[in-house]
Amino acid sequence: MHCRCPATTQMREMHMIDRRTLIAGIAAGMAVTPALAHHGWRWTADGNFELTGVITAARLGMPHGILDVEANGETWTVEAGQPWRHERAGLDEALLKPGTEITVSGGRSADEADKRVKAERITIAGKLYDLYPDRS
Amino acid sequence: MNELLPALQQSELAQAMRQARWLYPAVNTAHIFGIALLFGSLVTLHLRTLGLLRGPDAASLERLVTPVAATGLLLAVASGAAIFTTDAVKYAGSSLFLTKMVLLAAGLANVVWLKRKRAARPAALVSLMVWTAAIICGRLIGYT
Repeated sequence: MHCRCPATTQMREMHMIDRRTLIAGIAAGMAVTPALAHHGWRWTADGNFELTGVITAARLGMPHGILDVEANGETWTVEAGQPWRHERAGLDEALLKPGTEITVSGGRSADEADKRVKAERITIAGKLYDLYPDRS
Repeated sequence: MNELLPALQQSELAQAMRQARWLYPAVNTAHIFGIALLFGSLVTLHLRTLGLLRGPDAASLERLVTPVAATGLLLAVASGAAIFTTDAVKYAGSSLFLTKMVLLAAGLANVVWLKRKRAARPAALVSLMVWTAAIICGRLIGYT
C-alpha cells in the first residue's frame, strides 16, 4: 500500500472516489427515512378530518398515546397526545378508556388505505379538548 | 415470555418512562449519544483498516477507540432496554426490532473476528454494513 511509485496518485484518486461513494450512500439512506416517517405531521393529508366512534383499546403514555377507535364497523388508529399534552388540554386520561365515545378532529393519513388519524382536538361528552392550542 | 413481557411493561421503570415528561426524551437522547460514540469509533477504525483513511496504524487506533466504543455500546444497550420496557409486547413482535437484534448480535459476534486480525478488511467491511443496517432498522422502528 505504501509504495513510492507513480501509481500512488492513481490510488489516491481511487480513495477519493470510494469516499464519495460512501458519503453518497449515507446521504441516500438518510433521504429515504423521512419519506417513511409518521411522527410529526408530514404523513397526514391536508385539511381537517373528523372521526366519531367508540374507543376499543388505549395505550397511553410516551412517546404518545394510541387509541383504537371503532367507527362505522372500521377500526381506526388514533394518535393521541403525551400525558403532559392531555393534562395541558384539561383532558383526564381516565376518560380515554374502552367504551368511551369520542370525536377526534385532526389530520388523517395521506394514504387512503391507512386508517390512522393524528388527533389535534378531542371531544368527549360534548366537551372539547384542544391538544394543539397554538395550531389552528 | 408470555408473562415476562407484560410484566416488564408494567414495571416501575416502564410506567415512569411513559408518564414522566422528560424521562423518555432523555433516555432517547442517551440512546443516540451511545450510538454516536459506538458508530463513530467503529467507522474511524474500519475506514483506517480498509485504507480509506490515513494516519495512525489500525492497531494504535484500535487501542484508542475501544474504550469509547465500549462506553457507547453500554449506553446504547442500557437506554435501549429502558425504551423496550415501555412497549415490550409490541417491540417483541416487531420484525424490524427482531432484525435489529439479530444485526446487533452479528455486530458483536463480528468483534471476535475483528480481534483475530485474520482477513481484517472483510471483517471491517462486514462490521460497517451490519452496524449501518442496525441503525437503519432502529430508526425505522419509530415509524411503524
